[in-house]
This record gives sequence, C-alpha cells and structure tokens, in this order.
Amino acid sequence: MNAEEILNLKNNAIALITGAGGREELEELRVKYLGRKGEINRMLSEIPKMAAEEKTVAGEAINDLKWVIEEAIAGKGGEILETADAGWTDLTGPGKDPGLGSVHLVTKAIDEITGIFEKIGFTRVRYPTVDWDWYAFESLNMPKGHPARDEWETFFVEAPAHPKLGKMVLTPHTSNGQVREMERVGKPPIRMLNIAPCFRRQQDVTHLVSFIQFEGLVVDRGISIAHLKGVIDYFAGKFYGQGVKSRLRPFHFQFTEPSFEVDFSCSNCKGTGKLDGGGRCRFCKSGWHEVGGAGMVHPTVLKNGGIDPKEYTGFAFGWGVERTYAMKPEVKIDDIRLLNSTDLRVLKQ
Amino acid sequence: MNILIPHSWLLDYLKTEAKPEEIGRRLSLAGPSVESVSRQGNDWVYDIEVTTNRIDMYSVLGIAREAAVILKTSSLVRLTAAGARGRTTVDYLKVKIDKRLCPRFAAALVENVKVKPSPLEVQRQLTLAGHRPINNIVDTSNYLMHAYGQPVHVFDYDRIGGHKMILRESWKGEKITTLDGKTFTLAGGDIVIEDGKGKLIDLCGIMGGANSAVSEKTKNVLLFVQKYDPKRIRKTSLKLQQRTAAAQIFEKDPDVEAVGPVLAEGVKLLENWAKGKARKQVLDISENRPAASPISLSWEMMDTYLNHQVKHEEAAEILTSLGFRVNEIATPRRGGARNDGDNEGIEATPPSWLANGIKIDVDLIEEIARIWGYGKFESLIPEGRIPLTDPGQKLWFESEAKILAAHLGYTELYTTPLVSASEIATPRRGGARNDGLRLANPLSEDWEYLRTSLWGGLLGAMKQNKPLAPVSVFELAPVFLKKGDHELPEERLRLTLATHRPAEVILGQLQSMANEWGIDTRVEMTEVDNLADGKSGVVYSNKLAVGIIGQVSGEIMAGYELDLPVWILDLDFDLVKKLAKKTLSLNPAPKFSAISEDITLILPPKAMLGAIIETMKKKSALIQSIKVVDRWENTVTLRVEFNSEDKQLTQEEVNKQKEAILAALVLVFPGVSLPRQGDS
Repeated sequence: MNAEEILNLKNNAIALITGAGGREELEELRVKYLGRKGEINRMLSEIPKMAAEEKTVAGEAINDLKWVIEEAIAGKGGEILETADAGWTDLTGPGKDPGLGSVHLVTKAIDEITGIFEKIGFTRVRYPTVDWDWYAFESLNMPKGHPARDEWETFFVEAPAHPKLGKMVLTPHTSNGQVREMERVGKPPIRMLNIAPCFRRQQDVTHLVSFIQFEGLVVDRGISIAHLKGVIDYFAGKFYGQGVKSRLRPFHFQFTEPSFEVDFSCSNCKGTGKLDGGGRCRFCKSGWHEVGGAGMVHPTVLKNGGIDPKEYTGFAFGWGVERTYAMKPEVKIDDIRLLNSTDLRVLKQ
Repeated sequence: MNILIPHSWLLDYLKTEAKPEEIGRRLSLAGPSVESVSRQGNDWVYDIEVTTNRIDMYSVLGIAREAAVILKTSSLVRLTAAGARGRTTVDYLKVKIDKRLCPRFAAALVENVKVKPSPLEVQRQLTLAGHRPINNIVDTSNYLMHAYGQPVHVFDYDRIGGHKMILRESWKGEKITTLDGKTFTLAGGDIVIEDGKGKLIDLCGIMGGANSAVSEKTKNVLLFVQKYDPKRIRKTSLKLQQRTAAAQIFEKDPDVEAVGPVLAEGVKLLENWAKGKARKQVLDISENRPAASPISLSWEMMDTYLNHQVKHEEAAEILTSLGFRVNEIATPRRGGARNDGDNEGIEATPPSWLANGIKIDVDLIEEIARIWGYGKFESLIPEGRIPLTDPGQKLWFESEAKILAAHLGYTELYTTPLVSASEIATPRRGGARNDGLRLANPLSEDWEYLRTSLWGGLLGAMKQNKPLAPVSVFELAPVFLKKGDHELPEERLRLTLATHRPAEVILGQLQSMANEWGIDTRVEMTEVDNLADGKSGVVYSNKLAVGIIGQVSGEIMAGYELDLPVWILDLDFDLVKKLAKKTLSLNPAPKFSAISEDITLILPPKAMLGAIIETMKKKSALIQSIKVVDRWENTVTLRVEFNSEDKQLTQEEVNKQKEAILAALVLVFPGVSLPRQGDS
C-alpha cells in the first residue's frame, strides 16, 4: 500500500458518498469503509507488515483518510435528512379519528364527588338499592303508616316480607345506608359517603324514576351544626368553585332534627340574583340553587344504629348526583332527563 | 302541603311595617318555606310549604305567629278561650259520642240566618287563598279553617233527623253520599255521624253528607268544630282517596285547644255575615286533656349541637317568645347552697299548638337555632380522628375499568334497571336467570321487573342509534339476582361491552383488559344461550368462568331490529374484581436478543388457534412470544420469538426448535399442514 493507493481510495470513497442515493446506500458505504471488515481496518491490519519508517506515515495517512470519510458520511447524512424533510403536509384539516369512547358524565360526577370527600377522611361505600323497610324507613324514625312516608313514592317488590325487617322496597333515598353504616362500623368516628341508585315512583320534567344519590354521614363526639356547614361549604368550594357559599333553611325530615334545606350560591351571578349588566340571573332563584336536604341525625336513628345519642352526635345530607352536577354553571342542561339519555348524539359530545 | 296566604289577611293578625317580599324572605330563612310571593292586584299572596310536623303553620294565624317572632313584631290577635263556656248538654241537640274517635266535640246553633253571598272583601280574600266563595254560611267554615287551621263544618240544623247525633264507627258496607255528590261504600271503622232517623249525615273529618248540607233555603245553622283521632282519619281518607284539606289537617293532629275559641269566633262571623242569632248554650264535650309535660334540655347538649355559639339566656328568650313556658334547672350544689348564674339547663313546656310537634330536647334545639339564625353558625371541618373503615368494595377499580373501556372506544351508558316482562322471559341471556324480581306497584308495563342482565339496555340503545352504526357501547352496573325467601337479591356487577366491530377486535380488547387487570384469560368455544352457534364461548380466568363472549344470535338481533352483527363481551365484574391484582410487578428486559421466525400454517375449518399456540408453547420452552402477523382464509402466519435467559441463541438452535414444534403440531393436529415448498 502506498500513498497513491490511499489517495485513490479517498477519491473513490468521496465520489461514492456524495453520490449516495439514500440512507440505505449511505449505510452500506459506511460499512464498506468504516465497518469491522471495512477498507480502513483492512489497511490498518497491513501496517504490521510494513517497514518501520513507513509505519508512522501510513498510520497517519490512514487516520486522516478515516476522518475525511467520516466527515463526508456525516455531511451526506445531514443532506439526506433535509431532503426527507422537504415537501408539504397539510395539518389544518381533520385528522384520523382514533375512535375514543367516553365515560358517562354521571360517572365523572361520581368520581369527582368521591375525590372531594375522600380528602377529608370520608369512606366511600355502596349500600343496596333493594332493601328492607327497616333500613329504608322504620329505622329512620318513620313508623309504618306514618304520613311522612308519603313524601317518597315507593316501589315495593313482590316478595315475602322479612319477619323483623319488613317489606322489600326499592329505596327512595340513600339514607338506608345510615343505620347500615352504624352497624358496620360499630363505634364512631363515622364518615360515610354512600353513592347508589335510588327509585321514586314519579316521572315528569324535573324527576327521574331512577337516579343516583350520594349520602354523607358523620358521627363523632361533639359534632355540631357548624361542622355540617363546614363540610358542605368545603364541598361547594371544591365542586362549584371558590367563593360559592351554602345556606341552610329550616325544613323537616323524620330522621334529622334540626333539619335543613341546603342552597348553594349561584356562581353565575355571585349569589346576588342579578347580572353585571343589569337584569335578572335566569340560572338561579334569587341568587341561590336548591341542592337538597340535610340535618343533625335524629337521636332515635342513632339508637337504632346502636349508638348512644348522649355521647355522640352527627349530621347527614343526601343529594342527587345528576341534579348536583347539572347545577354547575358550565353545564347547560335544561331537562335533567338528558343525563339518562342513551342517544349517542348526546353522549358523544 | 302548600297554603296560600293573602298579605291583607295576614295583616289582620300581624302588625308589621315590613314589605311582603322581605317577609317572605325572612320567613323562609327562619321558619316556614315561602315558595313565592306574587302580586295580585293591590294585594300580595304568599305560597307557603308547610311540613308534616308543623300543622300549626297551616293557617293565617300560624304564619302570623311565626312572623311575629321572626320579624320581632307583636301579633295582634291571640287565639284565647273566648265566648260562652261550653256545656256537656244543650237543649237543641242530643248527642252520643264515642270519645275514642272524637276527643273533643263542640257545636253551637245559630238561628234565622239569611243565606246570601259573603261580604266582597271576604270573597276576595277567600279566592286569593284558593277557596271558591259559595255563600256566607259555607264561606264561614272555609274562612275559619284557613284562618285558624281548624276544620269546621256547618249543618243545616233542620235536616238533622230528630236533632240527634250519634258519633260512632261505621260498619262494613254502610253507604254515604258526601256533599260533592260522590257515594262511598265504607270499609268499617270510619268515623261517621248518624242522625235520629238512622241516616248517615257526616263522614267525619273528611266531608259532610249531602243530605244535611246547607243550601239557600237553610234557616238554622249548626256550627260544628271537632277534634278526631288522627290515625282513623288518615286511614279512611287514603282508602277512599278523599284527600280533602280537612282530612289532611286532621290526620296531622292539630291543636285541640283551638276548638273552643274557633267555635266562638265562628258564631260571631255567622251573626255578622248572616244576621243570625246564636243560642246562648254552647256544646263542648271533651276528654280530660292532660297538661303538656315539660321537656328538659341540658345546656351541655345544646352547646354541642350549636357549637357553643348561642348564649343560654338568649335560648330561653327565644323559647319564651315562641310561646313556651321556660323554667331553669339549677345545677345541684353541695350543701344546698344557692347558685347564681350557670344552670344545668331548662325545662320548657310547649304551648298547646306545638305540643304534638315538639316533644324532645332536640326539637327545642331546632326551635332555638332557627330563630337565632342558621346563617350565623361558623363553618368548621370536623377535627376528630379519621375513620379507617374501608369495606373492601374496591370501588376505585370500577372507575379504572370504565376509563379503560372508554379508551378502547366504548361509550358508557346508564340504562334503566327496570325492564319489561318480555325481556325477563327471554330465555337466559348469557347466564342471566329469568326469574327476576317483580315490582308490586310498577309505574308501567315497561318497567315491571328488576333486570338480570345488561343486554336489554345496550341492545336497545344500539337500536336507538342505528343511523350512527357502527357503534360501541358499554355499561358497568348491577343486575339483580333473586335469592331465597327473606333474603335481599344479590346486586351483582356486570361489565358488558357491545360492538359492531369484528370479533378479533373485541377479543383483542378482552386480552388487553385482562392484561391491565393482571389476570389470565382463555376462551373455550361452546354453545351459549342467545349467542350464535360456532361464534360463542365462555371466558375463563384461573379456571373460573368469568364471562361469555360471542356474536349475538339472529333471533335476538331481529327482536331489536339490528342488521349489522353485534359482538358482546359480558363479564361477571364482581369476580373480575376479586381476581384482579392491585399491584403489578415488572420484569427486567431480556438479556439477549430474540431470534424471530415466521411460521405459516394451513388450518382446517373450525380450527382453534388458541389450542395450537398452547401446544407450540408446551413443545418449546424457548418461545418468548407468538403473535399473529397475518391471517387470510385458512392460512395463518405466526411470528414466533425465541430467546433464552442463559445465553444468546444461535440460528441453528432456533431451527431445531422450529422443526420440533412443526413435527409436534402435525402430529397433534392432523388437519394442520404446512405450505408446500415454493409457496410463501
């Protein structure tokens, strides 16, 4: 091998490299020259056979050649990439639909509500929808035949009544979970979030036959109305936004005393009932939305759950998931039955 | 129940400067719920919701009492015993009363009345209150009921046979025609009045009889004010579906002390409006009414409920303003010394109109707190220990599964749990039992049974959405499985996916989901009810049957008018939850490079690729994975990756494995063959 050979090799290599048609061809050239069995290594392997004074010169020359070829390949590689980049791809129109499905709004609402309450120590449970009269009514201070039962139009199941627990019903509220939870946990503290389907025998524009309700129950030493307010305000802030406040008005339930109706301030008009530009806020009732009922757990209910009302007090609230969700100002739903729709034109929005 | 109160009428009892809208607002915050305040001409009308426990508010006076306390103005008219003292006998009426049915019976005779329209102002107010003015006699009874919450009846005295009244239980089969013209056959046990001629002249507490009603010809009026046994009134009223205002009031046990004063007031009105002359003797027969018992309330209890925010003196003042008689309970001191200042609590005796609704200490707390002002309470998150009481229902796992299904392209549905009889009767949908629970009082035929499967809802939705096909929908929800007598049904969770997309898609999705859940799956081809033959199977995991998969049968498809084939995956989700692993582990990547071989097989009809792949894996321990790269008619190409943990495999070793596998396959599956050399 002599200088002339090396020069020829270099010229050939550069000619081939600059003329390479694509990445594959370039790779083949790289292997040919720079690979394990390539030209450079072959030349290097001949160095031991050379005379001493020729070794150094040859070594340097081969190293230079190696460098030149590496540079040429790198340069050509960059050029090939730029060419690949040339052209036009329209990114403004609709792409290919990946076909995502969706989780139902009600599921999202349930998960959001669960997250909010779990952060302050609530345990989420699901109690039965088909339950005995004892849990749905009698243990909640509503004896058989009491007028208060009229408030909840109840579905009865065709099945033999239980000798102790009464008839089998579809529970009209998640409050059937209260005494069940007291029995399950045994001794306070209790912080229950029961989310389950309920049924009421009544269907019109504002009522669904079946809907999901969520029930909170807190029982401990020293629980007061201020704690009920605190938990409700906390929920309102998280669910509807900072600044949304709650309001308690007198009401009556057999299983709570005192009993309340709970309103949340309207986030649309900031609880004033009026809009910034004048005019009435159409979204709410004088600045407030009615969300549902609440109250301090009646001592009879605590006793029925095996808890001493002289030692412990508690509060409870029970609201509809669909209704509570529909009150979010971003949710513009007039007819609550839309949330029960199976029309995919609605659900796929 | 709601009551309409004209503002002008309220002002007969309440002295106030406040405007109606403000009154409505403040009442709602501290007392009865005023649903609306609407302007009617020069007047305003309050539409007030009265709760079942506070029947004392179902009257103008009742609302005035509340307003007087809440607005801190004095009420004008107090309902006190006035007029002539009642006697147990009178000369104009002979009575025989069953006191169990009627604890207080009062009547007064007003003679020589002139029946004509009531004064215009009275008619106007009655109309605004929702009553239809008829004449000055009938209007008197409606006026009194509305003003005082005490139902009142008026008889034409001369139509009472023998001027005799027997108040008794009805017998089964007795008939009565009430003054609205309806005739009822009684079940027995209802409270009725029989006159001296043996006719039933009153369905007590509900509606008077037509045969004793007042007309324009009436000369003498018997004014009639009672208290009845609430339970019987409710029973009769519900049975006969006569939910009159009187019945709805009586069944809630109104104030017995109102009877005397209302009777006296009624006599005055009749004299005024009808120019009649009242007899001096007034009848009033009642049981001994025991004095109301005081209710004890400890300050400790009130302080707990009310966050120590309400001063004790203020609490006592509020109760007094509501009509309670309040005594302090002194804390006993050693040595009998007197104590000043702090007491243990109070005893509060409710006024007669509250005695039926306010019975225990928490009832007192409610009265104190609402008047003091619910808006003034602090807002505190409870600070006690956090209960660690997870029941182990793994509800978070359901949310994750739903998100997974959504990412796989399925839209979640919530379908109604109530289904029709025909849906339940359809022979066992994929394992569902067809003895579903039936409702005793369904709202309609479509919603008579509790579902035992999610298929109906999903296929129904696919039918509804036919113009949008192909669609993929799912539901994760409970179905209701009947258990033994005296047992509640099992509310078993199922995850059901239904899609128009082809089998390999849903099969792949099942395998992906199982992988996410950390469970193995294997499908065994077998006949499944309501799925097409040869296109169905049971899904196993850990040798347990965990669900079914397959194409919906033509018969079911026809029933739902579906044209495009539907594939269904229906899993017992409660079982999946049990088997799923919460914690998944990771294995390190293989140390050596895999060598990949493509193997093409020609399969016989009805071949089960799953079994073939299992056999291949059993034959060679060096198989890292087997994927299907191509499947066309009866040819399948599998890409088999070989690898070893101990060393880098060579091509020769892999070839040997491949030969062994092919030899085994051809032996075990005689129908399987290899492509001829030269075919590729």
